[in-house]
Amino acid sequence: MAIEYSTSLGEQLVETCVRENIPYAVQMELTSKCNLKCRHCFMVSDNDVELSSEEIMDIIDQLIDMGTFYLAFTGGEIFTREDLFDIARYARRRGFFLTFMTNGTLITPENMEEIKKLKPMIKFEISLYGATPRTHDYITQVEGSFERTVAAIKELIAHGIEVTIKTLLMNLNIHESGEIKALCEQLGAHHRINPGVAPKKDGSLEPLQYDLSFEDMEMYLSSHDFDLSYLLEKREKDPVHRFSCKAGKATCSIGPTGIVYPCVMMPIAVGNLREKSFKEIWHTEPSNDLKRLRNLTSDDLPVCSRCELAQYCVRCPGVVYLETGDIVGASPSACRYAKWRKYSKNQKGKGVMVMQSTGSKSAD
Amino acid sequence: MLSLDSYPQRSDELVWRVIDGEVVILTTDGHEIHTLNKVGRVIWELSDGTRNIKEIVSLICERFDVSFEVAKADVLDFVKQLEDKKILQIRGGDGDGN
Repeated sequence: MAIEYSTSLGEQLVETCVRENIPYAVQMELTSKCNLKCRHCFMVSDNDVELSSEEIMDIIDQLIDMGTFYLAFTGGEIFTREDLFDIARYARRRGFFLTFMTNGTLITPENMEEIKKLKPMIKFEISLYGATPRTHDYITQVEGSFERTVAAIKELIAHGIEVTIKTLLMNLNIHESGEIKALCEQLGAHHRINPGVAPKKDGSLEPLQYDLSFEDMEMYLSSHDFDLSYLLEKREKDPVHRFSCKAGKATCSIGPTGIVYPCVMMPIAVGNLREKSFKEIWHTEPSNDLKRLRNLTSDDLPVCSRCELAQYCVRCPGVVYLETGDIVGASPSACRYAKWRKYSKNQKGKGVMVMQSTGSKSAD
Repeated sequence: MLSLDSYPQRSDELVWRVIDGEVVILTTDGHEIHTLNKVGRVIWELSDGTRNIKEIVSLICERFDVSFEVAKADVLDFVKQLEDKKILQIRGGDGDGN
């Protein structure tokens, strides 16, 4: 009588969440501290006092009332927090799908036991930047990090934990792109291998020195099957949000000190959870920035909406903001990738090679 | 055997929220989505392992102005459906509980 069952409700649910501004997926940056020193990292160290366990648990309680299903813990490196499992056990008990975003290097046999207790509600997303210690450790600037990350991936998979390996393709590792994909498959992990180096959160363009050039893409990507066409197909179905995304509408990020952002890639502070409740920040007293983001239409993006490359474009508002300081302009990196896709299509004549030009920290 | 003495309890291997007034349940693979209507929502929220079906039926009668027998049949049918889908677990209830 009272139950309906549908396997196609997922999209409807997401549409409802976007329409009603229900934050169904939230990323919590538990810390800005990290044990690696990745050359391209977009994080900026924050010396303010990070949220305590109790503050985080209170936020978790608020997110239940807000309708959040998916909670991703990210950093920094989350395993640098001694209370990680206190927080994770609490979230598990309260009922969330959890994702740990980590480099995996600090996973010990002891905390593997704790991880197992979070099953089946836990998944991992692990960053791996090369197929060899030479390349990966050069990028992380920590010797031995490749071995420790790969060992963690093997151990997690052996214990039945789902792992997605995330690789940001740069001019530092593009020469191993095919080998990285093969390694992921050999390890039995899912993989998301994407280009798209982002500026630092403080607007510094320093990491962009590692971004792929058109020539890099032409030389390496054409020879491997990086078929991410679903990204473009998904946006084609949804023309209203073609140049936008769910950030600030149905997803958000919470920084280490309690600041709420539309997305981890979009450092526009829309409220502070030490001063207001999540409901106030999100629903009852949304900031002007949040309202503007929610009300954007293609008319607000005159350059992109009339661009002849639009059909090849996967535009990330967060990356645009980091690159240009505003969310409505053209993204230099997205333009470059769109040009490459068009070029690739013309060269190959066998479909579009689509790459994601967004950041790699997506929770949904 | 499901009976009035059975104690239904929501599985802890799922996530459920109230979205747009309806209970939405996502199972661990994140793909199976169940939505419950108004009556289903009340039964679901009462199924915390502390009440048996007889108590739940009585509460449904109070809230929805329905006879005990009608509510009993509906609640048992509903709980059985959710048990089959492994999103409710059942404890106790060997007798018929009448």
